[in-house]
Amino acid sequence: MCINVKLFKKCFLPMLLLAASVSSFSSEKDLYDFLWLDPDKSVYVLQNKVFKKADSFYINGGYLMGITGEFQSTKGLKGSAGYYFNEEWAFEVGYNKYSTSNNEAFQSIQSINQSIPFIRRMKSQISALAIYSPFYGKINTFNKIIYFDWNFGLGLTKLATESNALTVSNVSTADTYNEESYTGTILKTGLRVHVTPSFHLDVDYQRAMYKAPGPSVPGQSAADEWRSNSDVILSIGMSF
Amino acid sequence: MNKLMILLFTFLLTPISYASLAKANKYFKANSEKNADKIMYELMRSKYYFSAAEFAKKVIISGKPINKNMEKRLVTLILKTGTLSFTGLDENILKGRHSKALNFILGLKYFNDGRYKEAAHALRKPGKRHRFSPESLMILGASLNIINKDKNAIKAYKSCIKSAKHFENKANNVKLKRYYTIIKESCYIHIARMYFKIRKYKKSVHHYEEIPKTSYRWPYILLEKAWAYYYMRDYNRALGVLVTYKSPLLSSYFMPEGEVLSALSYFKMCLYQDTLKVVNNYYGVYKNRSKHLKNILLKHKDSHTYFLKLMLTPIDQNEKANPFIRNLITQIRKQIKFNLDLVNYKKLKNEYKFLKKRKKTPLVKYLAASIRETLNWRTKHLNHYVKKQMFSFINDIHKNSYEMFNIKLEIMSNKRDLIYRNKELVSDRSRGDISNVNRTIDQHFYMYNGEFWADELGDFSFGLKSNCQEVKTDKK
Amino acid sequence: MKNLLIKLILMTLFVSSGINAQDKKNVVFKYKKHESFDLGNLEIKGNIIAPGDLSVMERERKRFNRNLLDRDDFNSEVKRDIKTLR
Repeated sequence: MCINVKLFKKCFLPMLLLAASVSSFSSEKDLYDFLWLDPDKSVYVLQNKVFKKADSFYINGGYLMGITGEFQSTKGLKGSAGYYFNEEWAFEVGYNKYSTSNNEAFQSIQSINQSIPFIRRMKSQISALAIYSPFYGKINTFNKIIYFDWNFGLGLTKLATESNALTVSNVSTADTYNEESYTGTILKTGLRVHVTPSFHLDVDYQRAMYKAPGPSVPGQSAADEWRSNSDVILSIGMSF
Repeated sequence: MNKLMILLFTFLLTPISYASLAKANKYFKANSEKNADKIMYELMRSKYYFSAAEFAKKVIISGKPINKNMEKRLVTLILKTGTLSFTGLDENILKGRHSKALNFILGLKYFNDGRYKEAAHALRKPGKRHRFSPESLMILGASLNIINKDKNAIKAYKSCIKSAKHFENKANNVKLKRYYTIIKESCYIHIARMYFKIRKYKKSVHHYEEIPKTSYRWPYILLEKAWAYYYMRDYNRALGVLVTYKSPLLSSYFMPEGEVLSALSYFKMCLYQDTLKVVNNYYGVYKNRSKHLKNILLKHKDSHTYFLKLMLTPIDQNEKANPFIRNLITQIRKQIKFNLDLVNYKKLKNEYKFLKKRKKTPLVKYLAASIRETLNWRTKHLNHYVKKQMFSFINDIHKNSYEMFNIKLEIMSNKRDLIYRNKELVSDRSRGDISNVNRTIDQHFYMYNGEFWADELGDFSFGLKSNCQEVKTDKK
Repeated sequence: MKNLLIKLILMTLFVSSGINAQDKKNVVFKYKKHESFDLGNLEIKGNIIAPGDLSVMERERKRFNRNLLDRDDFNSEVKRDIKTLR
């Protein structure tokens, strides 16, 4: 499946002129007269992919931004590596390391309401995913053709977190964070922009889903509920 | 302009050239044969390269061993004056010399004479970093290829690519870089042709695809690639590749064989109406055009200068006489040999003019006479080179019109056969459909929406359905 | 023995002169002016080795395959590349 984003008719003129080094003849008007190509037969464009993925390894390193926590500012680093078995399917493992801090909303609620909200902070995450990459396309912009892949991933993840679930409901105890660990599923989608056959830039969105308890009220046990954590990741990578 | 160049040449070289030429005169007077190497050196210092080449030949003929310095000077002279200065030497003189430059000349000479085995032998040790390694390896590969030593040929071509890449990276000016790029690409193309010969068409196409679309070689390989698709029975792709020649960008690259291949591809899909359209167009347009061109050229077939002059005048002035003239001039002008020979020819003319202005010493008289002879010979040679290509183009059109005739006969025979058997082909002509396009997983696919991007030029495919299924006439 | 040989020669001469005399007579052959065959009454003996009814054998038409253009190699192009190189 392919996407061909044809932005402007005229934007490919410089490329045409480049190709015109094979002939000094022909006016611009002729170039836009495509009757020679399509007189009475349908014509299709069938191109070899410039950036092939089959049987190739890749490694990525990048910066991540957490977009889930209401009261936390989350950022971090992500490293991942994968292998494409063929043009469409790959296996990928990744590791996220998070750094969190209380954000403005947290401080507001603390100073105005004199209370502390329930918070679960991400510490790290290990994941293993199957990647399906069915879309390959090109964009012609800034007089340059940019090739990209659009992929989807599904897998398992193990999250290391810490939360104030045990202390947040009890006003008499100091707010403390206890370490936790959960296993869940992970979904992702990403856009890979090819810079050279070896280098690429990735923009990913990933969402981890896991079952974890909420704040425990004294005398009651907190039930596990489905919770999620979403990140946006910008990374640079190499293929070989 | 020429006068200005001579003036500039004179001004720049005067101080050294007077001293060196005086020395050369002295050596010439003493003993021209014995001092040939010294005279050659002094003439080179004065930048009289064509004159120096005359004495270099004397040194080679004398049988003196070629030392390192002489090898360097020979390389310079070949580069400055062209291979033509030395290919006239007798093979017995060139044989068995410890000189890669002379081995290259010998190999080239053998190749041009069709003695491929001897060419391969002469070039068996081309060296890796010698100035003529890329060319030698390419000729070696071609010789081995023609005598069917395929494995060794591929090995030579691979070394050619490596060596050409090395010099391409080292080259400090654009023209030299482009020269090595063309050699590198030619070796890729030759490998593709070898795979074609042994019927490994997929591999062949893969190697053709190493050639970028901006390359000078690219328009020519479209036809060869289309043949590979044709033998892979991907007639839609063959037709798509061939339709590229109709692009205004490639208007100077008319390939008569491409028309035959288009007709054959339609024929193989039993699309007889489309086949006949191509055949009739060939007869109606191209054959008449070539007849007309032949009439123009035949008038000048005995001229020693007409064809060369044709190449040197602006295309616009000649193309009105016949549209194929643009084709031929553009294609010949892009050949390395023609360009190098033409540059050398102009340099030779200048050297001759310059020599005539010098004091008439015995050496200058001797050189002027021999350079004049060389000039006359090179004029005829260049003229012949152009003439040969123009007439072989006309012959190609005629040869291919015979092929077209055969296709037409075959269609008539097939149609008659269908009538005898009370059958007809299943459907009529159609515009084609996406379902008939063969696509692999590493290819991406677009519908053509009235415009294409430059990077898509040459990547077209038709989507026609084979019409070879027969049905009973009354059942249809 | 000699006598026997002479007798034989004489007898041969005598007989041959007799035949020559007969040749000179006009011999007239006469045929029946009308004769009819009763085909229904004819009895033919033998084995049937062909189909009883009249038939035309349909035979594949001979097709003359023309040699359409084929490309075994690009050797001529390889040669041209070298000849236009230097």
